[in-house]
Amino acid sequence: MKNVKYILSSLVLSAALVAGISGCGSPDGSPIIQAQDRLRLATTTSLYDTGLWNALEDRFEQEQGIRLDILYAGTGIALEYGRRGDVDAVAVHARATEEQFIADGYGIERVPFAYNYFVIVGPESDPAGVKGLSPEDAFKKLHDSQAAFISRGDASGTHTKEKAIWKSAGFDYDTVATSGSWYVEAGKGMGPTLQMAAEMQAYTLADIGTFLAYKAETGLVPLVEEGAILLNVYSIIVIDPATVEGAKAEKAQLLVDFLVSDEIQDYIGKYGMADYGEPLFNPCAGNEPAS
Amino acid sequence: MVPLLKGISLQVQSGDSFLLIGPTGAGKTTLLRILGLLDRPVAGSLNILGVDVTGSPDRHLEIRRRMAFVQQKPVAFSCSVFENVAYPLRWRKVPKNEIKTRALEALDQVGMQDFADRNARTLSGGETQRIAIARALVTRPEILLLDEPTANLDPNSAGKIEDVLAWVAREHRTTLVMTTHDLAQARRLAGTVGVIMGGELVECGPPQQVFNPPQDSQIARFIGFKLAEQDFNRMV
Amino acid sequence: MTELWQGILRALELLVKFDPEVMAITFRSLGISTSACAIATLVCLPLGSLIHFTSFKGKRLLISIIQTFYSLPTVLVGLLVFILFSRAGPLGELGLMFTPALMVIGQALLVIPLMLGLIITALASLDKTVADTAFSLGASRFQAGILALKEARYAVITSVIMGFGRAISEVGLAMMVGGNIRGFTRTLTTAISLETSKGDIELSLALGFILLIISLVINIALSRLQQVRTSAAH
Repeated sequence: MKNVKYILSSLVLSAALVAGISGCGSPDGSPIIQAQDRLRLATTTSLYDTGLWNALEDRFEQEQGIRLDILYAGTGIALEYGRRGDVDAVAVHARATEEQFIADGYGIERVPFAYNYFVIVGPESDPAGVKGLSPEDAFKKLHDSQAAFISRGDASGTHTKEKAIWKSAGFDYDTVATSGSWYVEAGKGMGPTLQMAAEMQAYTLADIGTFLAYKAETGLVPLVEEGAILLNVYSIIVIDPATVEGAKAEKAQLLVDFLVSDEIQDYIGKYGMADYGEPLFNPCAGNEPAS
Repeated sequence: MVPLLKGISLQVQSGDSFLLIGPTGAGKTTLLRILGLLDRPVAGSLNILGVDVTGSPDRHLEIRRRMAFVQQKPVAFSCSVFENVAYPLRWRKVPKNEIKTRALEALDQVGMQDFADRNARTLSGGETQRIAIARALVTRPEILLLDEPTANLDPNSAGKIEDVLAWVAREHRTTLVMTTHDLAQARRLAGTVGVIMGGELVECGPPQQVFNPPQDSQIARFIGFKLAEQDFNRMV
Repeated sequence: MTELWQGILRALELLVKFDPEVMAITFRSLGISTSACAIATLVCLPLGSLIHFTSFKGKRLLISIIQTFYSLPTVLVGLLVFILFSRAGPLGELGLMFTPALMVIGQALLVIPLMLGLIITALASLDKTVADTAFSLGASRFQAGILALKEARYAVITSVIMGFGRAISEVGLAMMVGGNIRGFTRTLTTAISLETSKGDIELSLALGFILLIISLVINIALSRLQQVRTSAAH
């Protein structure tokens, strides 16, 4: 009986090990310890939560035959991964931060590949009455009425934009952030932040793409959609191997070329039509879009 | 720190049967463990089988493998009786078929051959004692140290064990070093008797000498008391 | 309530149909934690035996330290491993960041103090006479160590299972060091935390059920072992 137990447990153990190891590999069976050949991309949560990357990932992997690993991280964290060399490219949306990143030597160049707009969203009842205002005026009203507002609070592109709006409206950000319990720092990705806003019937700033993707389940409505400051440009930056050791710039460049290719730009421009009635992104093929 | 043993000077001849007696707590087990290289004396020198084993433990394993020890309250390993007895042979890398023969032979010597497949943890105190002895005998040691080996046994089994020990001492010229509370046993088995009292070896010599001590000495009192106690126990 | 109920039903559907992503995530979790546990066992059995049977200055302190590390927060260990193995870090050359291999190493580090401490406790609870008897019958230190582990086998196996339990249920380290990459380093715990925060309740529930079943199996195994142990002692 004891022998049977030993044999059984070693069988189970070996099976688990084999299963685990094969499960760790890619579906085509390549082994796990080949991190060297995998292309790593850190992407902003708002791109990921729309599901755009899921669709593009499979296509890229098939067309190029390169394993693409996508890490879900706010802009701040994504850039940090880039500085450390743990990813080979970053896809984020905070222009000033990106340009600083490149000036510091970590990135080669900034290639915009899609854009949309931020919107200020909130409950349909709009208790603070911000509908139709300019972004700056809307923020002023939210501050004055102490309406519940959820901030990303995570140095993401969205958070950076939020800070820019506060600044543009004449506020000192740190003062705003600590001025009361109406201002909530979520510390989460865009999708989860929208959900939190829905739970608390609060306002928040979101990119139109993620907002539309989550619209059905959150029940929030767009209240402020016009304003130059709301432009939201997504760019991809290849990490510079001259500064960051081990960055796979060549492979990353393939991804960049893929994203700005006519075919994919077309795909991006149509993404979301079927599910949401309007596209979530506008293509811009490597050029900074005019406001 | 109170020393357990004081100034013991002892020589045991190869092939002799040395029986150690004395009141409880006198230091019998302590001395036996030192002789068995299980504990180290704070001071003094120790020479076993011609090898100076004081201090450096390098040669200890080698010497320990030529001896075997049976504890006062022996503990069986949690496996079968056969496996228990086979362990010391496995440790010495004895070939498999030889292990089987010798283990069964040792069990036979202590009358436990029918218990080979039993879980050793389920044995009674007396049965455990017997397999502990078998476990020691199986290694064919040059020196066999036993701490009150028949203490838990009924007279019948005790007698059988004594026969085995006597046989082993005779046939294989095994040196026996044994502690006991049974003075009659000491008289039966011993070539030399040692008496420990209060940590000191107060008497050492052939049985006739030791069992006829000066009338008035503490040894006489101890032996007299012990003999009376044993007579009493036999009557009851 | 209907949302929850519907979620449960869809989750069961995913399970019964052996949804490929759910299965892949499950096997990956099991594989990573089992490997980590195996490494930890290989380290802790000899090390635990060595520590227990050797007397040295500061032994008590060492054991105290080991016990303090039992419930070290997983994010802390994750942070340490991240800093060490990030490409910018000292072991960056190995290129292990965001791979299952690194998750195995990290979980092993997480589990080793727990397993080590429990194995030492298991050995310490053995009757002292056992080791003594072994030595007195000619066992070397190594052989006596093996015997002790065998004698304490139920407690030792319990330690291993508890180590596995900690590995498979942790999320902090797996997240930081694995990156929760779809199809590569996504495990039960990281997937649940991601999917839940994104609102995909069905997938979370399905994965949650599996994790629950695994925990149940572990607990049943542990209690069976306890029973065997207490009956064997008699």
